[in-house]
Amino acid sequence: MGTETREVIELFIDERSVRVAPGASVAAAVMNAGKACRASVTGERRAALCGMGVCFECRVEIDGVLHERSCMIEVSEGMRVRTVDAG
Amino acid sequence: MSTKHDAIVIGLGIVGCACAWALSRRGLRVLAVGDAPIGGGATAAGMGHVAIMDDSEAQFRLTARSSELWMALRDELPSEAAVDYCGTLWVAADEEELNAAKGKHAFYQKRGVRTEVLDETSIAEAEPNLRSGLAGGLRIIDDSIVYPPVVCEWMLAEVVRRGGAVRFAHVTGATRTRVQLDGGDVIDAGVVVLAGGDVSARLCAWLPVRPRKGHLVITDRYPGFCRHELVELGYLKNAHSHAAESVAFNLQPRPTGQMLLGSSRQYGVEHEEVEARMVAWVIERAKLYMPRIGSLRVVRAWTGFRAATPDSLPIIGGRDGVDEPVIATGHEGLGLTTSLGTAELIAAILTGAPTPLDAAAYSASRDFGGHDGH
Amino acid sequence: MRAERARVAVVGAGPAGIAAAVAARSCGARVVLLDDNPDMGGQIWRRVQDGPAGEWRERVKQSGAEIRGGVTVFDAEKVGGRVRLRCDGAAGASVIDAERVVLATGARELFLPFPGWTLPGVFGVGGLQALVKNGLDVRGKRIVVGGTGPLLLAVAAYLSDRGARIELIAEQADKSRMLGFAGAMIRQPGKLLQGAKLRASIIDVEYRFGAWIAEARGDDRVRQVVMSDGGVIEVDAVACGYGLVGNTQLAQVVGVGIGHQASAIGERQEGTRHLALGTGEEQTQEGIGHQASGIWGRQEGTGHLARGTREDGRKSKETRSADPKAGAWRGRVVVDDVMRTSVEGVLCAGEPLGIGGVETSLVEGTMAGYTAAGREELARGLIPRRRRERAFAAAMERTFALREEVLRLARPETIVCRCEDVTMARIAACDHWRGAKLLTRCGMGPCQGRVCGAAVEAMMGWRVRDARPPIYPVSMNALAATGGAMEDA
Ligand SMILES: Cc1cc2nc3c(=O)[nH]c(=O)nc-3n(C[C@H](O)[C@H](O)[C@H](O)COP(=O)(O)OP(=O)(O)OC[C@H]3O[C@@H](n4cnc5c(N)ncnc54)[C@H](O)[C@@H]3O)c2cc1C
Ligand SMILES: Cc1cc2nc3c(=O)[nH]c(=O)nc-3n(C[C@H](O)[C@H](O)[C@H](O)COP(=O)(O)OP(=O)(O)OC[C@H]3O[C@@H](n4cnc5c(N)ncnc54)[C@H](O)[C@@H]3O)c2cc1C
Ligand code: FES
Repeated sequence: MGTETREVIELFIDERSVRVAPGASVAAAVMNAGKACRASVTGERRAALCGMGVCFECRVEIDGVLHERSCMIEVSEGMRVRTVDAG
Repeated sequence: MSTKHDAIVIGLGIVGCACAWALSRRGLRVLAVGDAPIGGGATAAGMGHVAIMDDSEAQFRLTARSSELWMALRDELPSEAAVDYCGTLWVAADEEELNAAKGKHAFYQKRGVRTEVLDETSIAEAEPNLRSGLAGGLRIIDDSIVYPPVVCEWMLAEVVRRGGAVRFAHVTGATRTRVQLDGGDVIDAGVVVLAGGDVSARLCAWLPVRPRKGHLVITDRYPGFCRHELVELGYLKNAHSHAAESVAFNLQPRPTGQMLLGSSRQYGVEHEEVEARMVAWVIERAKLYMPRIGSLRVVRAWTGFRAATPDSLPIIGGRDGVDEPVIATGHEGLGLTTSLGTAELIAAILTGAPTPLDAAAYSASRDFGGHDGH
Repeated sequence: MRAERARVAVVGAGPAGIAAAVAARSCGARVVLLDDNPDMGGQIWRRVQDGPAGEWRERVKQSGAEIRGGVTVFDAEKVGGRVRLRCDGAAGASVIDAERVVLATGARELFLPFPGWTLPGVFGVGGLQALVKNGLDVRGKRIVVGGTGPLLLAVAAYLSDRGARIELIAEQADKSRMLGFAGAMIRQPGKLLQGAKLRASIIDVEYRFGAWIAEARGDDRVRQVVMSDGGVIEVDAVACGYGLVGNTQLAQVVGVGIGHQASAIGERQEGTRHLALGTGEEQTQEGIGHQASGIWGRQEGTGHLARGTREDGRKSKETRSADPKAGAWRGRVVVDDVMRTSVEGVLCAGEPLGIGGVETSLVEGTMAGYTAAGREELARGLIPRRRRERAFAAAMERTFALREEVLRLARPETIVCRCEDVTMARIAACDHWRGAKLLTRCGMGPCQGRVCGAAVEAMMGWRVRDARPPIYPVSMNALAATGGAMEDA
């Protein structure tokens, strides 16, 4: 769990370094960075809605795994997140 | 308002809808009656693979003719029908299966179907997520996929436009020219066609049709994970065997980027629950061919019932001198494909319209080898 | 893969689940407490460490219950007299065969579609609170809070406390209804605001009744809201939610009866896991009904399915449930007076029985824990308390009943199913949920209809009851690992 003792966590959102408090959800980190989460099937930008794992709007790619619900996952050191707003 | 219908079709699955549509295109006023939503039943559950098959000459002719009819329809169908000519790739695990693939290739070539044999290298290029070391495969170039419920709705809309009607009701009894609905209504028509899928025997007790359950799972979107409809050649050996239970690797790339994985076959299971054991078995089988599939996320699983006959051919047509409906059922795992050929044949039988198909091969009066289906 | 047996397994570590675990442990049963969040607490106690939340957290930790976070239970099935839970999570797939299972799966928010609700920056009410608790920064952000229920005020207070500027709280219920409810509030004042400290800052905010958010506008994110009276407010974020709906999916897949009346006790129920088919007498005489509409012209007759409901797999007595505005469309798990469901070994507590609030969840959780541990008489002692709590909840539900207008906010081009981008027009052209799924893909995405299904149930009055395992998306590997024979588990 190592992260618990850290004061800040560095992760990478769309290749950019972001520092957040430990315990934050990836969704919070993504939206604090001014980003949305996913592209809808018709190409709309979407971001978190329910905050509790229900709506699947907050899906992002985390460490190469597609379709992760970012509101249900805590940030961890060195994590690589890819959103709809990547490049 | 006149209540006289030229024809009544029982069942709003793909077979019933196709029959209603084909008859109304030939000028008949058709009433389509069903007790499930349009495109419900096995049709909603199926994979929607339009495949030219070679298990028997009769099966080949029906699937090949149907495939032509699907091709002719492709530009008329709405985009939601999601037609995609992705082709089928039969996967040969070993030399024996590759030889079988070559045999099929020869069979198809002789009959003008475009196919191509792949060796170990070219199959790996065609489908990079297949495991390495497979012997090769056979590509059926003009096979396609379609989303059947939308086709059903499109067909019935046309039936209605041509003066026909759709009614949601359970049919409790049917003769050649009359149906009785739950609640007592009786409707007469020039002819009645029964396309009730695997439960058709409730209206025609002699029908040797048995439900054969199948499980499917569909994933979230992973565009490009696979490109062709993939089917293991082992399928040849076990899918049509009449074992109580079997599974075979069958993966379809939906146009949405979702992966649709099948499938299992079970006789004698009387409920539609998703069985965790069968789902696990289907997935384990797939992992033998595509180990990476294990990490894909499944969003839904469901089941459906195929209408199986003793000789694996559908039953199309009426029996002479028996006051029962004309039959269009027993399409097992190919009814989406063969619905169009079936409808053409039904229209030919009832209106004399032309068809290249030979009715005798699918006749309701053929010898079913003593099976009574019960 | 991990396979184990347990005396009692509790699904959901909100107040109900925590209370159930504590009660069952106090009777000496071995308890496993599972939740899909990394940390326990459920919705109301998310990240709350002090007050009752802190006390209950401590109690359950001391109790010796085994607490596992980050575990999603995606299937529940009766296997050989036990209840098998199939789970997935960061620690891998697992199977738990439990003698008794307490379903304490809580609730989710009800979202009613309105133009612009898919813009980034439009959140649920509880949704925004949950996100902020998990680190979303709202300092200086202008926010309109809208929808219905006591949560609006609690969340507005919370957000304001976190530095947000609340522009308006818009409660769709009329003030006249609120007056009756206020009486109840005064008698039990603690209820509404648990978990949220009302601060002076919020008192300046207008709390408008009979008002709702009619539209959200923006470009890459939300910039404005249009209120029901036509007023336009500049915003950075919107929190909008229309109350809660119980999570009954797990109950549905294990075959538990689901009812529809406002009272959760002793009501009509429906649903069995295994529908018989084939034999004439066993035919289930109901299915998806069919309403007239659209291109089919006149249609009639209620559908009688030859074999239950096929893909839907569950019985349903009628197409249209009772008056949506009265809230009776919300399906509820049916239990007896000590929290047992219609399936042997399966108990249920808290929000799936009908939205009740934290006190209700605590009482019911405690009762379920006692019953699960074989101490039914202890559960019985709590029946009067439960009745009081449920009466309060029923009053609240009446107060915040949805008005017609908020069910009609979506325009034809408004997206209703956010997973598959299905518009209101396409859904409105269908006759029932099953038809809409088949023809429009509505509800076919990864949320499995949790958002659009509940909305459509409220808006169209359709019966949406088609949970099938897996009730959450899970990897093929997890399905393969947990589906095998486990006789030696
Ligand atoms: C898992 C699975 C995968 C499949 N994959 C494919 C594939 O890839 N390609 C392919 O070609 N085929 C496939 N199939 C087969 C195909 O789905 C079926 O053959 C086809 O859908 C059958 O259509 P149908 O209209 O005959 O039957 P159904 O779709 O079952 O429709 C019959 C309808 O009649 C109604 N009915 C019955 N009795 C009455 C009554 N008394 N009164 C009123 N209505 C009644 C039923 O309710 C039902 O809705 C698959 C099948 C399954 C189960
Ligand atoms: C954001 C929010 C704030 C609220 N604030 C208040 C308030 O101030 N006062 C008040 O009285 N009420 C409030 N409520 C209502 C609240 O839901 C209840 O008071 C209380 O939390 C209900 O407790 P519960 O244990 O029944 O359900 P929940 O607290 O909802 O807990 C259920 C838990 O089960 C988990 N779960 C569900 N399904 C599964 C599964 N299949 N596998 C694993 N885990 C699962 C959920 O993630 C959740 O953690 C609030 C609700 C929300 C959404
Ligand atoms: S915000 Fe809804 S699932 Fe994450």
